[in-house]
Amino acid sequence: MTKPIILNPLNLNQRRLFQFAIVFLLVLFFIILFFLLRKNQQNSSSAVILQDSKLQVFDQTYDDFDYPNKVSVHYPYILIIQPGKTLTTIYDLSKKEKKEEFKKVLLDYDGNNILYSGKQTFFNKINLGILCENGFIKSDQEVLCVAKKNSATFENELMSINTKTKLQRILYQADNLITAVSFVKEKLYIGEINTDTNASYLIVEGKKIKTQTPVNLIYPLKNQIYLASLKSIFTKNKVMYFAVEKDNSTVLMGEKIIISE
Amino acid sequence: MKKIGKYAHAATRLKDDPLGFLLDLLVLIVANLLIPIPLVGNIGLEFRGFALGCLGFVAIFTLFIFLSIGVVFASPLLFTSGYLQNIFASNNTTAADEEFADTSTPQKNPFGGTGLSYTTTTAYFHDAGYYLTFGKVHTGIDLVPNDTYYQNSKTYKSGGKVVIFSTVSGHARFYIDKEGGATVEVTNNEGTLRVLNIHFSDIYVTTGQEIKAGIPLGVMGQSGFATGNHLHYEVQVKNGASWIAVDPLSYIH
Repeated sequence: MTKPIILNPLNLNQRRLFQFAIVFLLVLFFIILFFLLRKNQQNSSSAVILQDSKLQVFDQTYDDFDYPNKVSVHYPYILIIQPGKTLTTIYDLSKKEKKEEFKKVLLDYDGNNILYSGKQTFFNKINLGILCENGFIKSDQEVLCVAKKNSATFENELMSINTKTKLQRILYQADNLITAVSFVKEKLYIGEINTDTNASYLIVEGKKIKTQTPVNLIYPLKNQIYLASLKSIFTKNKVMYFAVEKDNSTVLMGEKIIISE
Repeated sequence: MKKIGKYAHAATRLKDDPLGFLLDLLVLIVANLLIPIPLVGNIGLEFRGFALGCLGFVAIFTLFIFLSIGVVFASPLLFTSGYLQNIFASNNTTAADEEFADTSTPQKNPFGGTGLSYTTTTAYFHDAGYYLTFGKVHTGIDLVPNDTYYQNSKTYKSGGKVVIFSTVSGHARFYIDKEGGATVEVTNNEGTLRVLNIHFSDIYVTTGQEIKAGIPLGVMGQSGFATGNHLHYEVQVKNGASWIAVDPLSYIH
């Protein structure tokens, strides 16, 4: 026996009213949903901040982010380097999103190429024939590499390596230790520490500026260059960052490192 | 005839009152989303065999789609995950990766494997980043095992521990360094070279024990001055009356 079902015993006007009520409720539902999603997006962080041992990269938080973990910036990319996990995570600072993950300890990444070290340093799959402690991919054809002067010395030097010919050209030599290197807006920035006096410096286009703490990181933010020092014996285990002013003086901005706001 | 009449009625409604028909359809969809079970029940009662047939067809079709997607997508994932390799490699992994030649100068990585294939170097010899953090010179290299090690090391697979092997033959000395690190020092029989392995969590050898290259020395740990589990591996060569630290990487082939 078929059970007779009367689903909608309404006249035409009542039926139309019912239909429009449902449509209204649907529209209302989508409006509320839209505002809720928008609110969540607004709540999500767009900042990259390292404070104490906590690194916040947009919505991702890295706890216990201490040595040997480190960050490196090749704008618009930030590299979260975790050697203990053999992992480098790349985020795009302009799009404020995660870009890529590499099961390698990268020295640098420019969006197309990677620079990393094993027994020697590789530019993508090309062995550069030297071990770089620090590096910066200037272009597809040129890599900046900080390497030991020789295997027995502690001091290092900055050289330019042609990625095709592997030809090395020394750019900067000092009796000190080069701690960071970056190339921003056609300007070369070098961090350096004197291992006898522990005085630290920033070298901009060959000009040496004394800094309050050693330079671990050099990065641009809102048309200004900033320096950052990670936790160390020289910073009394604090992180801090400095703005480089137009007169080349450095101004302490805080005991945290803001890489993106 | 009755069912055909229903469809003809729907067609007439679509022609006479398209807005009403579309709105009815919308209401039906919303109702289906909100109260699917009663609606299915009602449809089942109204159409009985036809509706049940449709439901059965949809159920089987869905199952087929899921199985097809599973086979197409899961198979490559299974192959690339290393799971199958792990199952078969347990029998196929040669011990050669953890076999060391009897030698008085180090030739292999203390974790085994070829070259640095089993390890990631977290701090190099005379590492600038290390000096910048701790204000002292790093006289060895810091090593941690990588994914290749965990996937292939026969020793790790059988024991679940990261075992460190001696890279030279000679005599062992076990001591706790001044920062609390459990250290095994192996000096070669000629007395010209010694290897320091630091931060053990467990030690397998004793002071004075004769060591062959490849003998397990202990388990990687973080005893002493360490920020995490790793091996500090240091090579020193005799220079007159003193020992000089040299870059251990140049010994790993």
